[in-house]
Amino acid sequence: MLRNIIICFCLFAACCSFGSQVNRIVSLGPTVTTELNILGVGNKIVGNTIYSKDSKNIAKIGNITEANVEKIVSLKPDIVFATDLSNPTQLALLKKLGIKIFTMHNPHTYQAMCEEFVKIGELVGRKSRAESIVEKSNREVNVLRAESSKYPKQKVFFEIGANPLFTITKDSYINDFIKFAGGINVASDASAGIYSRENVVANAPDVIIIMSMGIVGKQEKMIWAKFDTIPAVKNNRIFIMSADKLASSNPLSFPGTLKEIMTKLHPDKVK
Amino acid sequence: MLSVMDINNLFAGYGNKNILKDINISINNGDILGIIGPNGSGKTTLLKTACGIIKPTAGEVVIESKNLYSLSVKEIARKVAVVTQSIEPVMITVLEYVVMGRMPYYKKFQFFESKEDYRLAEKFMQLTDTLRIKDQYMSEISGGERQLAQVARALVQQPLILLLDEPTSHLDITHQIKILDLIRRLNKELNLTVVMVLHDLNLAAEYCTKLTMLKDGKIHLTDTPDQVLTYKTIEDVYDTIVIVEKNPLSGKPFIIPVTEENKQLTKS
Amino acid sequence: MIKSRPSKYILLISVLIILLIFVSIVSLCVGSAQINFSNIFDILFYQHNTWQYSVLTEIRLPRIVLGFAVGGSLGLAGALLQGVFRNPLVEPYTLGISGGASLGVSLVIVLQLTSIFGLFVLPLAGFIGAIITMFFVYFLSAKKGVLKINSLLLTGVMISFISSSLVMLIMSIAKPEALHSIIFWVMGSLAQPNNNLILIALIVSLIGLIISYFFCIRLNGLALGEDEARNLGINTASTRKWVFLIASLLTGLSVSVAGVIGFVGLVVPHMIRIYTGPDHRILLLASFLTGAVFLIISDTIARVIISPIELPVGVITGIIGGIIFVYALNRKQMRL
Repeated sequence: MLRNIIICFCLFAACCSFGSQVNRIVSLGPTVTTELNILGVGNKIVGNTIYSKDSKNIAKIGNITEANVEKIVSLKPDIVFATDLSNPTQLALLKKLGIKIFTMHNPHTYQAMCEEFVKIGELVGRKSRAESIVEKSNREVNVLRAESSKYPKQKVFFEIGANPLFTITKDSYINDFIKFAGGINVASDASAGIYSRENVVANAPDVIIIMSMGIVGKQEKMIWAKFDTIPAVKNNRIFIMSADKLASSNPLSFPGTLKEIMTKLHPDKVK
Repeated sequence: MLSVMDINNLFAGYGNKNILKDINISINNGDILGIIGPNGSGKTTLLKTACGIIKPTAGEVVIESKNLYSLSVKEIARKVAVVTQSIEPVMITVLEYVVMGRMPYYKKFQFFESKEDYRLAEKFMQLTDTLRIKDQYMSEISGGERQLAQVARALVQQPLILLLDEPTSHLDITHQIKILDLIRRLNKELNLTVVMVLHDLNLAAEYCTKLTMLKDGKIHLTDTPDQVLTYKTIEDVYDTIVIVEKNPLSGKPFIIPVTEENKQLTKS
Repeated sequence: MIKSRPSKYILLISVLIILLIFVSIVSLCVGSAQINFSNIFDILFYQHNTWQYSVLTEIRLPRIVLGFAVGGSLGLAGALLQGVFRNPLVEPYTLGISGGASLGVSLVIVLQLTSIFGLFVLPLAGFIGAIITMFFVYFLSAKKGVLKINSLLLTGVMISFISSSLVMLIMSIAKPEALHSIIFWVMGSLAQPNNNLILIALIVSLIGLIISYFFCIRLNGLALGEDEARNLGINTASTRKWVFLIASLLTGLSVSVAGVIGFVGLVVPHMIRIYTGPDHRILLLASFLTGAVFLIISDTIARVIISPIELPVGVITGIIGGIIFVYALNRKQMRL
């Protein structure tokens, strides 16, 4: 019996040991880097994209779409975290050279985001820390959801690209921001691609949220001002939000951003 | 008299249209045959059919008792050599161009010319007085010199019959005489059979041993220059009034066109 | 002059081969991983288990070999097509081959077939797209089996436009990840992970070179003009058909394995022709070797110039090729 327990313990340790043996991590996306930092393994990152602003001596291995295979190999990573935007040919080359890769897919829902976060935690030996962060996030989100369900639903148009016009469909977790905040995404059933401004006018959203890109955000606001049949325009409920907060969300930041959106949707009600 | 090429009951043209109708010609060994006729009468078409570029819709072209079209393009090139009116101005030397005339004789995997090929090229360049410009580029020499180079290239093919399509049309009088004198000399020294399309009736009269006059795609008359170039035939075919005299030096026919002004004079 | 011509050719080919070996060695030694030159010999022969060995043999060496195969194929295809069409603007992509390949690859990416069949399906789709385009262009422009030069060019350009419009259509309705994949592929890259494909490209490029040598005499004749070539006993229709086929296959293969790398097929034959003239006996091999050298150099520069970011190799071939070409054109009279 004791022998069995010892064997089980050893197997269990072996399973966990990969996680604790991860000492050198390469990240191919700033979102991943942020999550790794949250999990407390930021000091194990040896390679990063040029977009991650950290002051440490971390090697730069490329940008979000192009990674330098040679550089990565020379860093001898234990694991490489890739994203949907990483070049598949380069990933195939890394795989061929025996490097372990985990590809993060842009989560379609908040739940998927949490599951992926836990998976990352598992891979770097911080599973329990990941799980507790997710648990806390879930609690806060549920509280906010309960609150927003009391308020009348608001029709929302979420603009993430101007010239041409791009929006969020139900394929993105940002859709969950809208849902949980008590909003209805007017474009949720649309297919990918350029969205027609006509459709927005026809859908008459109560709120328009523009994911800002500097001056473009202000210019877009002025364009929308021409369509004063839209309630959002009439009632001056067009908001600009920062792209970082929205596009690089993680379970830790999610509740905070959700609250911010809720205040935009239900201004008199949320404090 | 041995016939080198026989054209029998030939109908030919472009697409569905027959330009040539029922052409019958026998070209004998040693002939210099001139093909003459007004514009559009089918002279160039006849030449192109004789060298295999245009396929007849009916009738045949026979060379060395074989139907021309039963031969491969290479075999045709060994028997029939053509000098066209102009070629692309390529930047190769005259010698490189002339030696290309040996292409019909290259063996299957032969890539380079043999010593014999160059010897022949130089021999015929000597005959055509082009050896002195052998290292100049084809695109740099004059039109007349290019024409001579073409003749050299044609000779290098060692053909049975040499076809020339209006060899004098772009040349000045010096080169016109030079090239036709050359052809006559080659005909005499090498017993070369020649067929030329000419638009200048006087040159045709002077240099050809036989003339075929075409009208509307049909043969109007084939005979010696004396018999063909009468004022009557020319008026019938060209619809132009002329006076035919005798060339004081050679005794051959010499055509003097009657201009509008002259008509007034002769009337009065 | 005649007797020295074969020796002039041998000299040029020798110089090109030496240059090829030289740039290949330089390309092997240079890269973002910064492996010390003095160690390379040691690593290659004695240290097979190090990561440096992997970088040299699994990353750099395949790129050099593919650069040789694709650069050679494109240079050769350009020389063949310019010889047949007697048109200095013709290059391997003029006939719409790259458009068809791009279309095949875009369809496969947007239909997410790579997740079902694996990455191998991309070059396969590219090649099938290229071949289908080739047949399209051929049958649309051949009358009674004879390829007319002008209709071939026009058809090829039209098909090119149609294909790129269709690719843009696909790109506009694609999800962002698919869109990125399509753009990567179209930009062209020598980073092909499948070594078997690189081997196939190498073998086919060499076979293409050998076969095209059987046409060099005929191409020399074609340079004189259609009628003159026929009068020299050259079957011009058959020559055009075969050369079109060989050039299209070489281009189709290159595009499907490495994406669209422009300019090599246009510039290389012209540069060579300026020095050698239009004799295809030297032009074909010289174009092949120069294309290979050019692409390997361009790829090396693309890899290191703003390391760690790698530029698309087509950007380098375009800029360098353009500059060299304009310079050469001004210095020497163009021998067409």
